[in-house]
Amino acid sequence: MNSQHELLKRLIKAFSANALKEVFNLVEPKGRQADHISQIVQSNSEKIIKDTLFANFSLLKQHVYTYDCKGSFSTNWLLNHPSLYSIFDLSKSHKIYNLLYLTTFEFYNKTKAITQEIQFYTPVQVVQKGTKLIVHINILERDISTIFKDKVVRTNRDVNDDIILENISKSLPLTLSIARADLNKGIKKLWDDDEIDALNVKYNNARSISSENMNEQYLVKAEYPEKYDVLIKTPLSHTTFKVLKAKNLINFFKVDPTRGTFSFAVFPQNQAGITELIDLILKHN
Amino acid sequence: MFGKFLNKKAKIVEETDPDKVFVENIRRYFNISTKEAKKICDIAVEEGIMRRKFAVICKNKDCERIIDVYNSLTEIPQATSCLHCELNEKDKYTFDTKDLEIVEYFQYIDR
Repeated sequence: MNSQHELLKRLIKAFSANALKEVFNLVEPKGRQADHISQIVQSNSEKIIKDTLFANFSLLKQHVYTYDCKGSFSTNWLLNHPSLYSIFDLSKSHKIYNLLYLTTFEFYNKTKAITQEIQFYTPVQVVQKGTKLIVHINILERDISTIFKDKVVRTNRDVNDDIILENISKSLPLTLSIARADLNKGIKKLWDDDEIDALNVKYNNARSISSENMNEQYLVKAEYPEKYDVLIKTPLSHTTFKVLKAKNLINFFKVDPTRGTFSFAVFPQNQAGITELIDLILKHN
Repeated sequence: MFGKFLNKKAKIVEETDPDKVFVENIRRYFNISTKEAKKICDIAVEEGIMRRKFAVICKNKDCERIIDVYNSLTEIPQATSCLHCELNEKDKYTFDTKDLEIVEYFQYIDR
């Protein structure tokens, strides 16, 4: 059940059906996704599959955590990390660490009335860029009920975002301290410039927390400019944006600017769209 | 009562969103029963003053927003997805429309 072959099949399910065909250059792009996955795993080495996944990380659904760093990174500080897969040195101050966390899901098999375990890789990309540390974690949403014919109910998993972040944080050199980046300035600049507008917004008033969840396809600033003038002065928390102008980025994203976190829960359409969006926010931050 | 509605129409349009008039807006405005307010809306549709619309509501308890609106019940697709819930990583964001609440509302034709 948890052979390397099966783990690789589960790993590439992280791609959308369309992205899968594109990144692995499938000759016959028609057919069922399950058949494509089997074909890819049979005709590519483990290294090619893992390298392709990390080269196209921007096409995966993911959570992103951004940090401000104080102090200095030691050379290849994640080199001895047990989950490290590869390192890319793009420049002296720009490195990418690719990690694969083996994650075990415990579930209850109702048909056999027993508890079983299934394993997945959770791909993680750690980007060290200047004074920023950016951790990308693939949203592991593999539906185990599609893997088994039996009726199964998921009960537990041993690795989640909090565990991964704590684990990476513990690997940091002692000469370095990190804190969640506050992205309010960068996000508000894009919102002010009508580069983005919100589908829903949550913000902190002095004595309460307010939120707006827009009906249909309405957007906050376009519909409620007076409310926008008030909320733009407050710290923003969980807010979902539509990208209005830059069509090469991403269509929608969720961000908690005060805590420096993003969620990209819909498959990105463009290569590097996520990276370029985050760079744009950081540039204005 | 319908005469009162016609007399106050301009004021109601001014004080509500003329594109989205719920029965409760009319009920509250005249301080009447819901049944009477619904009757006024139905007559307004018959008289060609308002048109009937249907709003499909998201089933997730912490969302409950209007996903989309339609001119008739037959136009509503069999399955409906809430983009907000998808982006918010809810376990379920695509629903059989028959399981969703559909709210009738009204829209002024001539303002």
